[in-house]
Amino acid sequence: MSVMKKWVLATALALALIPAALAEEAEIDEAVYTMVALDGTPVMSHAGRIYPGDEYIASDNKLYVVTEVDDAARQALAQCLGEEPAYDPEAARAVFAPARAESGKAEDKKLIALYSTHSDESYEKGDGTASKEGSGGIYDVDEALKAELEKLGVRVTLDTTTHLPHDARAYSRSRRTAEELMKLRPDALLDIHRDGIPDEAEYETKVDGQETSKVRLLVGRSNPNASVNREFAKQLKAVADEKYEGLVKDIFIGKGDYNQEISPRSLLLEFGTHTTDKEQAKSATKYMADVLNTVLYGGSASAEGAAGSDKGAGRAIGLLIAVAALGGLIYALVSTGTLKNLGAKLSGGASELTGGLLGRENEDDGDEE
Amino acid sequence: MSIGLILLVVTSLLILFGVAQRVLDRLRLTDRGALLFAALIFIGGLLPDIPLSPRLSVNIGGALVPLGLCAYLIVKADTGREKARALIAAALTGAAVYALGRLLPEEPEQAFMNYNVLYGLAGGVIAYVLGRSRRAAFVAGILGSVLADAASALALWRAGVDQPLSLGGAGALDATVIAGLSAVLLAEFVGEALERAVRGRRRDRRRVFEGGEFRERSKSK
Repeated sequence: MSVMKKWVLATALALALIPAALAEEAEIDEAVYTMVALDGTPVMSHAGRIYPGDEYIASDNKLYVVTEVDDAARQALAQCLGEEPAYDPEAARAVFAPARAESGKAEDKKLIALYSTHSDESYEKGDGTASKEGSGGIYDVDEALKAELEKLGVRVTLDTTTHLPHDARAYSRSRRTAEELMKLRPDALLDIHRDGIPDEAEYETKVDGQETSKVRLLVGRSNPNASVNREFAKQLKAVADEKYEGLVKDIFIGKGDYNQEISPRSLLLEFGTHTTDKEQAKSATKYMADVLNTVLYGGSASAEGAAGSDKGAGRAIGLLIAVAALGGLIYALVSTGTLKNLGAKLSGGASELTGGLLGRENEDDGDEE
Repeated sequence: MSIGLILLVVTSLLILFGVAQRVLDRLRLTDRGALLFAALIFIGGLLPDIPLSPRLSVNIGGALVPLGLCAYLIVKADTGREKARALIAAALTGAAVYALGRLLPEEPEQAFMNYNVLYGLAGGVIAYVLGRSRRAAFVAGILGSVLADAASALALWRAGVDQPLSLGGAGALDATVIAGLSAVLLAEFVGEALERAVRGRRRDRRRVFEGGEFRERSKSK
């Protein structure tokens, strides 16, 4: 028992050390980082750390890739790779064909699902606080977007389940909501947020003469659907640029998955920041609703002939399975010792599962049913 | 396709090819039993949650089936000490998952790895350190996640926030399932590598591995 106590103590100690070591990093993560071009020109600011490999599509469609990060200066150095190629119509057709095919028949088939992972997010101007324990002001933006979409004949399911507290497991909790919403087979699954950068001016714009907040689109690049999510974001931005110039602020393609692997047409939208007037964030929903309706259901593109297979996602899945198979093979080799043993094990396994149809039964395995 | 679904597919593939047979032996499942278990998680995850109270519900694939296997493993454990070890590992994992959730950076882009896998790794490490047990690793991963979820919900309810808790609500893609599978895979992988490194390719001819246990080799063989 005393040996066990020692282990318990050691484990508890080790675990206590992990968060302590991470606490310092967490402080850095709450800071606002600035992305600057190689010539020192500021590109954008971001609430939270920026990582090498993160990508950024600016309002003018210039693509930046982060090459270096200086944590002390809270600065990320980014190389401009020129203009991001316009959205690929082929990929776009693959992504949006299912939505159009389903919705082309009847209006009541159009369905968009909304939820908010960070339920506490609020607006200082309008809610009096940036974060509310309970349903934050972000749900008013959800409601506004729902109402605007419904005016355009789109059915909307808004899940107001909260996912508190606003911590590292918020996305694990909201994944349950997202999964529940996916059972309704929506044409798009949108996670509605507000940003956390202090400068409200970065989110100020005028559309049709009305003061409104800008909208940032966020794609998680550590997700098998990243390339199709990116196409979705690019098409939203292209349509917004054409109809309501200045509405879509930019597209940030950062580390993380944001539960976007759940659907190729899932995206995170940031309506303003915590210092933005909530009314401006709400007024942006009118334009964003029209953009969503145009991209998902409007336009002249026909669903006919589009198979709806998303190549980007398929490639990612193939790659993952290949990596997993390689890992399995290495594991098998480690656990059986030699290639010969491995062969016997595989053959034995195949034999047992197929009732002797495939492979050869192990003679010395001592298998019992 | 999510990490949960990928883990499930990979696990099913590993089972099919017989590679994970040893892990399953230790989970007291036959290959067919394990495949059935994977199918139950997947199909159960697609079914509606079972409401237990106005704000508490449980998903069949995401929580009920894995918790059922945990209960089976604990009940079938040979000694009281093994049972205690699994439960202690689960409690420690629950505390670790809760603490990690509160202290890790909250935005996914700041995560150095997939958090759901990390919770499983915590369970795997704790269970392995406590008793080199793959069974306890699975129990720690599943039960630890559920305990951490319950702790978060209780804290909110006490603060007057009426937030529903859906245990394993994302089904096969839920953090609970991912944590359980990662825990047992890590314990087996690390355990196997460490034990092989210590033992080399020698075989202990006096003992035989049978039905998930090491037994003295019978004299007639």
